[in-house]
Amino acid sequence: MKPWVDLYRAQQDARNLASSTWSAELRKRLVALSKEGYCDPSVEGRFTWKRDGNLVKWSIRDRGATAPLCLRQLSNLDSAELSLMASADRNNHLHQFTVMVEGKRTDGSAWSLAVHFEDDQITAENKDADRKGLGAGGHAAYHCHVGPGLDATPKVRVPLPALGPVEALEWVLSQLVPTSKFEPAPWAEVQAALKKASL
Amino acid sequence: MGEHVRNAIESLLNAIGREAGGVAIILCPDYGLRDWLVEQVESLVAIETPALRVYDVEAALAEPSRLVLLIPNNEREVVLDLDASRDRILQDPARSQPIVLFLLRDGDGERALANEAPSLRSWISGSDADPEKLAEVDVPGERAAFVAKYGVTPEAWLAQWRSGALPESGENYRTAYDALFIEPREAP
Repeated sequence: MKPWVDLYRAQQDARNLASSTWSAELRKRLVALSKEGYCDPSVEGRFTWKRDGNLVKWSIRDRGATAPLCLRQLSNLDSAELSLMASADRNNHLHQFTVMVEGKRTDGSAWSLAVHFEDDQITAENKDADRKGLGAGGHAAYHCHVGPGLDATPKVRVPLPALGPVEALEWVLSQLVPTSKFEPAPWAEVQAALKKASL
Repeated sequence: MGEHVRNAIESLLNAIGREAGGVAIILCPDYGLRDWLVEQVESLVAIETPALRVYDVEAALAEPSRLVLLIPNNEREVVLDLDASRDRILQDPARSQPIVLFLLRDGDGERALANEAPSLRSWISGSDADPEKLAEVDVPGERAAFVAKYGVTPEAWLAQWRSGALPESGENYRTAYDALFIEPREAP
């Protein structure tokens, strides 16, 4: 069981972000997507925050509400929408994070990809915080789904390593646009980093 | 504020981008949030031209080709200095990047701007932003809008969501996110 406990602990640690630049880094990834023609450039101004006391909620918004970002020109998907939501406090503790893509394949069938970092805030309605389901293996606090839809059975939640929100979005984009422009860790750079670390 | 903007980030982008060599003013509710807003503005600026933090007008004027973030220790003094420096700012070499001045909302600087700095006030008209005001959640207003749209209160909708009665669609995840912000919160 220890590896599962260690995973949960690492996921909790991943909530403590190094600085407030994480939201800007998310925006940069969205702007990069728009510059390559995969979404509208207005996304730069649509990824914004709302505030309630110390709690800051980031999302792609439109007309006063959280809204999807339409994606275009994706190979193998005729249509797709991306949702991006995060809530954190002013000390850069990430409470909740969601990236979700819903689309239609070229054959008309539904396709979804989602990253969920469960809300860790304890309230009367959320007494167990980020401990949903039966345990840290079957329902890891930080997990992803890929398939025809999140309601499709059997429901599958793949535990995620302790990536930050920026890396999670990078991973999603690398799946949507599998080109070198959206590969966050090209093997040549990984090898160079490994070599440097071994010196 | 001058031009109507819909959200906090748009207000910052509008204020900074309105006049290349002009002066933009960002209002902040308190010093803690001022630091946070400075970081947000820094992050909006392109990597190729990182913003420069300065604390007085002379330092700002010395960098006409850099976007400078003017974070005053004495707000009134800086506002009056800027007001008196308009001709210098417009002289050659003309600024290619704006000066972004951070002032406390209802603070000494904003009062000086309103009462003692007519030149600066007319110049920055439309290049001012109060992003935190735009970012504040209007709980009664947003709850009323939620009920009008969904026919139930946010907490009633969330009760259905938490029970698994609603499809796990992107639309419902987005709705849940908005509803969580405006449901009454109680300690466990």
